[in-house]
Amino acid sequence: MQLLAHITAHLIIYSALVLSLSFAVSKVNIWSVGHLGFFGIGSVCAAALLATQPTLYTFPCTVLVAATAGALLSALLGFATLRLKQDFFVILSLAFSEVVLGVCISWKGPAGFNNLARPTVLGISLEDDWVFIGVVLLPFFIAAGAVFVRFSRMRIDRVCALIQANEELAMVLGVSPLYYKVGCFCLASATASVWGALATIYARSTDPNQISIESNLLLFSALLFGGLNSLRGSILGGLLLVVVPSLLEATLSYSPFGGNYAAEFRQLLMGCLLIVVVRWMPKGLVGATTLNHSRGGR
Amino acid sequence: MTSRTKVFAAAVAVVAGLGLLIAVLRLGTGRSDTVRIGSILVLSGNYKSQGEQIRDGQTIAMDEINARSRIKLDIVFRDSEGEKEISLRNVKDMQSQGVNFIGEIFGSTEALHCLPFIRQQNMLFISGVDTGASLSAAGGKHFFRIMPSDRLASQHLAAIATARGYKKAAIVFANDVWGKGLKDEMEAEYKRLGGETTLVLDTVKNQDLFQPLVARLKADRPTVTFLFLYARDAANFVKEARRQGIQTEFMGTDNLTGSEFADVGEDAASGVMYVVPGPPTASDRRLHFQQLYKAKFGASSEPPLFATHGYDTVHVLWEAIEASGRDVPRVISYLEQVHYDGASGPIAFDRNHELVVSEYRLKAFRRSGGQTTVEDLGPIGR
Amino acid sequence: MTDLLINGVVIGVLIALVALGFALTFSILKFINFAHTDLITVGGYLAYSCGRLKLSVVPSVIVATVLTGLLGVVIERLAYRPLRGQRLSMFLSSFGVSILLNSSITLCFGSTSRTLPIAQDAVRVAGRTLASAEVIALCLFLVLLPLSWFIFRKTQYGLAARAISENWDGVALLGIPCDRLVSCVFFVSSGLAALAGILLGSLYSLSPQMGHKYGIWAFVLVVVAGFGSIFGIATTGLFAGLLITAVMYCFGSYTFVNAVLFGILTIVLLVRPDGLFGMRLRRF
Repeated sequence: MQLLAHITAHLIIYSALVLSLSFAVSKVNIWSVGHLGFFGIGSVCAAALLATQPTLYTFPCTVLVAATAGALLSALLGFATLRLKQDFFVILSLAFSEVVLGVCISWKGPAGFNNLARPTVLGISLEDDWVFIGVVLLPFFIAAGAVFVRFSRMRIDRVCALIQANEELAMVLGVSPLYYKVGCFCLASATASVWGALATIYARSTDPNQISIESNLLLFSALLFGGLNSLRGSILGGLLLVVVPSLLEATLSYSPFGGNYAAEFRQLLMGCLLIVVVRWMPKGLVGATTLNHSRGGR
Repeated sequence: MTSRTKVFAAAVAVVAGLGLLIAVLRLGTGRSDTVRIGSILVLSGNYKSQGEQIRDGQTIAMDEINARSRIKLDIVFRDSEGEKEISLRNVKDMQSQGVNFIGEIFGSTEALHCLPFIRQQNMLFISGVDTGASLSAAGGKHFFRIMPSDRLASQHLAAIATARGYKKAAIVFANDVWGKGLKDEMEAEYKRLGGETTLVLDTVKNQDLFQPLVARLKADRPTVTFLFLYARDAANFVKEARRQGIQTEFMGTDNLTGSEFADVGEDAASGVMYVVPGPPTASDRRLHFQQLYKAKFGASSEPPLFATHGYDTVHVLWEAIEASGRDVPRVISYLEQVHYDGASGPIAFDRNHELVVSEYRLKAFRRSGGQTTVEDLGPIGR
Repeated sequence: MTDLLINGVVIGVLIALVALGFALTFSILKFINFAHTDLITVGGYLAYSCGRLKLSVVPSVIVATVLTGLLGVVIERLAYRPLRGQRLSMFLSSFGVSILLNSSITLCFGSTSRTLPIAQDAVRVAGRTLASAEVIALCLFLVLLPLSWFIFRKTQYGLAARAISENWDGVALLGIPCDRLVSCVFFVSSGLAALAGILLGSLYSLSPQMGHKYGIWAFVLVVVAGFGSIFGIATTGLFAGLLITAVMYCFGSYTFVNAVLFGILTIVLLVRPDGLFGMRLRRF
């Protein structure tokens, strides 16, 4: 049961992370390939707060601080860089993630924060994993999903679609594309930071090894695999990140190769899967739209 | 149902089905004549070679045991990818399968992260390679290790360095959990004994652009340089240092054992000293393991440290399980009294479940005629 | 100090060589080819295998370069061509190829580092002792970069390769076989990666992750230098190598290298979005 709780918690966290990335990519065509940088920011903010004496108000405080940090930094990054060509933004985004990684390692060392205490929420102790999932993770995920679905039905979604399709026309109609782009980017990044904070509270520690270029690209691949602009797609993306590698490894360990090469073959299979999905399933498994490859995305 | 819903349902069903398949397969392996041990290593990324070395040593031990024992040993290897939560998930997976003995969690920080769960579930974790100083306190009864902690190694290294009159030191370390842990302990210990650390250089594993770092070292002119790098990196560093004509003594700990440092360093390795626990000469078991290793991997020289420790970990744990059954408290009691002659040296545990080290010895590499030998320079008093 | 200077130049030269190969594919197909980093590694390991098969140095290098070039062509055909025009999909596909190549190398050769015994002897140049590999790297740099500039500025096929990224059909209408041209460019780019890998393996060591570090630096370099300028790549590469050496010397640490490089990247892109030496092409 402990194992199931662990897997469920991670599944929710990573599905939410994929959902937040989907926001940036599918709504305003921002290829945020350094999304885990914001996850890291939220993670470290939460850890720094929890490392001091937890008080009654620490949980909302932690989440708010993480969200604010993520939003502010993404606003800064967004205003400065979203006028660049898409490819350059991709590199900058990766660079941002690497800088965040460097900051995390410099701050607390390669081991990160450890032995953090989980705060209480409304007097309920969160020490039990299932309680944590029920009281914190699930409600947050439902809220994120509700926001996503509601957004898709609002006028703002159509404005974003117009900006993606024809920026000049949007400007003629009096819409400022940069503000919408930065706004959505902020929302996506703030969400990622919040989930970074929640992940830290769950794990009672931070782990700089989670933020790497490969992990970032895997997250993006998971988004593509599940499908863009879709809540169900995000859940499938979460499955790919959390459950599928372990299942593959466990299955391969029963194969004739024995346990010895399961890790390598798992990597091989993931690489093949990525190539196949990108080639033959441009909408992913259950996506509503494909990636927008329009010129430059300026 | 729309087609997208169908696809979603199908995908979830496939994953669930795979999970069910594995659960069923696992039921078939819970046999009474097989003892299963978990081993959570890093089998991808930068530290893959270390993980493989441990896996190699443990596999040799497993094959040896299975060849002579009626009850079979099965080691379940899992890849933690160097992440704490994945390590913990694998430990929980082991526990859910009824595996209560963990033969390794590679990485002190990953091990630390898993120890609360291990204690809570009354499991046993024995490590051959984790050196983090805080592990024994965190692990309590449920943790043993056959690798001396960083604290012990640095105490002896600092003692011999200051005894030899090296009062001004530079430290070069790999900026990861192991290297930084060792460097922190060393800085503290060296200062306590009156030494002064004037320069600290850091790098990362497999990063071999050493020329600027060596140039910086040359400018600092320390009497001794403590090398807390992985073997190959240490060898390349020393080569570059000799090329630039640095005058300093190089000292390390057991990170320089095994043949990799000597093979890669060649002539530059000559004169480099290191401190290791254990007796002055190789035991029969060590030679036996070397033969097995060479037979399996065709290696031309000494097996790496991690393989040797992986081998010993499995054998010690097996001996305890054979004698006490699969009851964790009884295995713990057995291990507390064990005296095992391992390939890495004599193994016994003190009341903190740390390896009892009767003595540390100073060794040095000597090179002549294209061959490297190791000279024993005597025991170290503390 | 001179040693540091030379070291910085050598690192810069290696980065520039990697960046040149990467810039070729970047400028004609407008996508970031992540697999380029692993082609560096493949080239190094192929040369190692040739050495194990008792081939001498020059045939090993030629065989490794040609084979890697062919591998690059095959990868383009299978993984990128079907996705042409969809830049992000090609980028993600290249990431998949990178994972594939990396795990294949690890399966074949194991993850322990190996030494590549090519061009190991020392050479005295102008009073300094350099490794032959360093001298070869410098020579390659001095030959290949002007050669590339000449080919891409002055020859018909070179100009066509640059034009393809703007107007595929226009170039095809001129009777130039576009697909074959793209394959040629990939062959050359992958060959360059292999050469860089062989030099890196000789100077340092071979490991499955060896290409990644230089690959990331090469990406940054191409973006900072800007599209369309080989002179820019050469200059920025040298500067980058010197900067890396300087940062490591001053801080005594490798940890700050990436932070400094990325910081400069950010500043350059904010001030000059097309890169330092980039050309703003008119859009019709």
